[in-house]
Amino acid sequence: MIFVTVGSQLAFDRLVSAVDDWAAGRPDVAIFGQVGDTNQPPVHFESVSTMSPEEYQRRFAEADMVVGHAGMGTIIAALEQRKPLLMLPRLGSLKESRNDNQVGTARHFRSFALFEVVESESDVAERIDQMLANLEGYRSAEDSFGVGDSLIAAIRAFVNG
Amino acid sequence: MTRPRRVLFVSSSGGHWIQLRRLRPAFEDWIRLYACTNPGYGSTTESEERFFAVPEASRWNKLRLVRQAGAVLWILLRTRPEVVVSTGASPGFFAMLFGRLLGRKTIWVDSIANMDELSLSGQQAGRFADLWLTQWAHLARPEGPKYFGSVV
Repeated sequence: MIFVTVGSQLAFDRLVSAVDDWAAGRPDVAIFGQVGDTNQPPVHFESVSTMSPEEYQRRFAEADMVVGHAGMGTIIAALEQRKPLLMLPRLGSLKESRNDNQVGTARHFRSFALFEVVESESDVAERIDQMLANLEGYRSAEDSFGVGDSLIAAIRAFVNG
Repeated sequence: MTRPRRVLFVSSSGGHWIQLRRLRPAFEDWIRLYACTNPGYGSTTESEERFFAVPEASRWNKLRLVRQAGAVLWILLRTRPEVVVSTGASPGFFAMLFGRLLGRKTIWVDSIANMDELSLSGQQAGRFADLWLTQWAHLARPEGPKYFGSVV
């Protein structure tokens, strides 16, 4: 199963329609989407605008891979559940978010073994195919992921000092 | 017997909330209270943790901002936490402002999503935060924010 998530109520049609186009040619692959408040919901896979945190975690757990925006909620969920994640950053210039934060976030996290980044929606389809062909490879991904001890220590020292 | 210490975590929904939750190890033996704009998150906290919903707001809707500020102030007065922590955005700013006015210890951990510059709320919250942190080393400044690592 592929889980598609735009992370919030804010639609991200550029990503969703790219996956929808890909899905048209792959009726054999189950896809479920969380697509925000959009006038253009996907036609080739089932979707909802938003979901509860529990359902979000469940869909994530069931997924073989996730396609999403480059938001920290999605990134942390993917690391916690060790899921391969394809990210397309939202762009401030297209009013997909307030600014280009996600471009920087994607640049930073693309070095993680579980993560792939595309800069253009036209590359989404090809990258999904590549990732699906390599699901086994992602299972051995060992991205380090822990709250920095130094951050926790600094906060502890501050509240106790 | 000493009374357990109380911490109030405040944020908006989504990535801010998820980062906030990852700061729990710093407050293991504390009574942990949460305030967030997504009421649905109440069911995801642990049984010994308490959750309060606050109204959503954006910086373009003044009335909603006032209501959100009032809700944050009310929760602070009601729960009397010793420490207030936020990762963003406007509810966190109000938590820093009122927390400081009420003499609480205030901690701002700016979202890791802001790697080019500090968030707007983080810039404004800085002067009310007793501990003002960024999650990016290159954004740290001698006068603050400071950098001690990140939640990932």
